[in-house]
Amino acid sequence: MGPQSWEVRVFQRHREDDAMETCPAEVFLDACPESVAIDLIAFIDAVAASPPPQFTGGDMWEAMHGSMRGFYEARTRGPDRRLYRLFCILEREAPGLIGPSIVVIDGLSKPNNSAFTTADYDAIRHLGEEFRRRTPRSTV
Amino acid sequence: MTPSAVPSRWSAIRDRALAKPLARERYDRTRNSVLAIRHVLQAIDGERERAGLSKSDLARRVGTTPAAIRRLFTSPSANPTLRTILDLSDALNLEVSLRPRTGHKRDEHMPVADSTDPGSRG
Repeated sequence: MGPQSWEVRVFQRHREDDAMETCPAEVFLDACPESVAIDLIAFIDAVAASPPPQFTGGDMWEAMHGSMRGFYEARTRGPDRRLYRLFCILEREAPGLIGPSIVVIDGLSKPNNSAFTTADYDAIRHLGEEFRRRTPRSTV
Repeated sequence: MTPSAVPSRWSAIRDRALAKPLARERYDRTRNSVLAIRHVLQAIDGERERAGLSKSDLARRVGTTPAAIRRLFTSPSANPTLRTILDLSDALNLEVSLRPRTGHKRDEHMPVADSTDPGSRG
């Protein structure tokens, strides 16, 4: 494996942004079909063991582009060919993190042969901005 | 990395997902296959360096572009075909072999394919 494994952290919304202090990615994973959740967790763990950006993991782990630049997505297909995405941010060093970390932000799913809407991506990006705005970073 | 005293939420999420029957088997299979892709590419890239070849040299040998080789070794979205792996191996005078996983008892009904073993070809 690589020289150093990365920590996996889960973004937790700050109480000033969300009184319930939810972890959107955890809510998403808990709602996923069992096989999908297992695959996504396994992908993230494999990426963490093979630190980015050197990591090459097939089409299951992609750097995003355009308006979603700065995010990475773990990708898999579930029952009925539905597509599932788990959105992450990589932090090499940031206040509140003990080292290079993959921060799991949130997830989305969509039917096969369809696209996420601008609003879908806006919501993810908003959470990413919320995460980066906080010092120290709000993760659990 | 120093492990935190308190298990992370990610560990808790993983533990919850893997508590279900057959979940561990699926998790291991998925994780291992992802890691195997990286392991193979790392090994090939290491052999390229050991042979004193640049990525451009290797690209010429397999008839592709230097950019394609760079992407293969560094892009998070690289997903080489078996043919690509065999072409790269051939260009570096390597042979591809399969062997039972360390510590795993081999199934008597499953022969081991090893291109370095003449006995396995006949």
